[in-house]
Amino acid sequence: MSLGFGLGLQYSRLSGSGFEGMLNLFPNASLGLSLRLLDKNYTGFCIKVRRSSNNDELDIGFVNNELDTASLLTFVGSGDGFVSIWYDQSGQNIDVSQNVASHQPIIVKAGVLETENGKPALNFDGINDFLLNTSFKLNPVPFTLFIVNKFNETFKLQHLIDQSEDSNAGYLLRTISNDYEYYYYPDIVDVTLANAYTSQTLISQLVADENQKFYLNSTLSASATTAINNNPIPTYDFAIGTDPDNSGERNADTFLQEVIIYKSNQESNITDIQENINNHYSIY
Amino acid sequence: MYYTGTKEECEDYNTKVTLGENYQSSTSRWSEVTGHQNKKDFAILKHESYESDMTLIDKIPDSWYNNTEL
Repeated sequence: MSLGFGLGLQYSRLSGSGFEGMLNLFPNASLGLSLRLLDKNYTGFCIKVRRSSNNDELDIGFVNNELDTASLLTFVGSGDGFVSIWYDQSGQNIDVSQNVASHQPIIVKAGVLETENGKPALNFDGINDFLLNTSFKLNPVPFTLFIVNKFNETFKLQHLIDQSEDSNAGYLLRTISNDYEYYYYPDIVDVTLANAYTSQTLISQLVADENQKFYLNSTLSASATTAINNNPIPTYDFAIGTDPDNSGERNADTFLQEVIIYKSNQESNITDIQENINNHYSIY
Repeated sequence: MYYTGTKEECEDYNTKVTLGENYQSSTSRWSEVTGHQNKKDFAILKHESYESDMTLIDKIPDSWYNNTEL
């Protein structure tokens, strides 16, 4: 444990001079999960990893503003590495975690780093894997979210982000029958957004009163002006990769690289934020 | 692969794996027991290193879950 802590601090301080992270350029995010450094002032770790060889865990930081994959691969060895905590870089301490071993997404499989388009990625198996935060509340509107992922399939019902509580409160984004679909209970129900992609994709969504927009990569794919008159706060956990109402059969089969959420209307910055993300991941 | 059995059998299997694996730090247990919506049948994910006398199935059928939200 002490070894990992020391390495992480050291590496964070070595991040390149002149570096401006996405959260330096576009501050005040409420959640910043990524496998790259998002904020030059962030001195914490990126992920906590459990290795299959003996179930020891280690915090992994950053080198040159990227996940320290050398330390990760050395720690995991020839076995598997699972993510038990994905640390929030927003400064709000909204880490997402999974304390159940069989539900932890994998990042190293048989000694090989999981990647998508050349960058590290968490691999959610579509059966058991998901991450949770018990305190984060996405409500009320407005909020703006950015996700970099690659679904391995899009026909099945799979919840990518979900804090819905039955049909009473909360938000969810999912795929079903090859479409993206979202809810913001109780005022927005069962809205089909666009055909879902099985390639690496930047998803951007603004949910605001009388202003909802959904982008795939840099393209506006759906928009609406539905009035949101009700913002009941769900009591359920904030979930990545599952439906907390129906865990089990709705888990996302996806590679996931970044989830950034602003609890504010970022419409004026959306194009610039998309450009920043795409400059890093080369998605489109 | 999943074992199916009573809730107690599944919980005992979860405890056996959890103790055997000696999880530390932020990981506390092997898996979760999944209940059929009939509230009578239960299942748990098989760990590759631990056997049980419970019935082994490939996957949990969709019929186990409540699919009311569509």
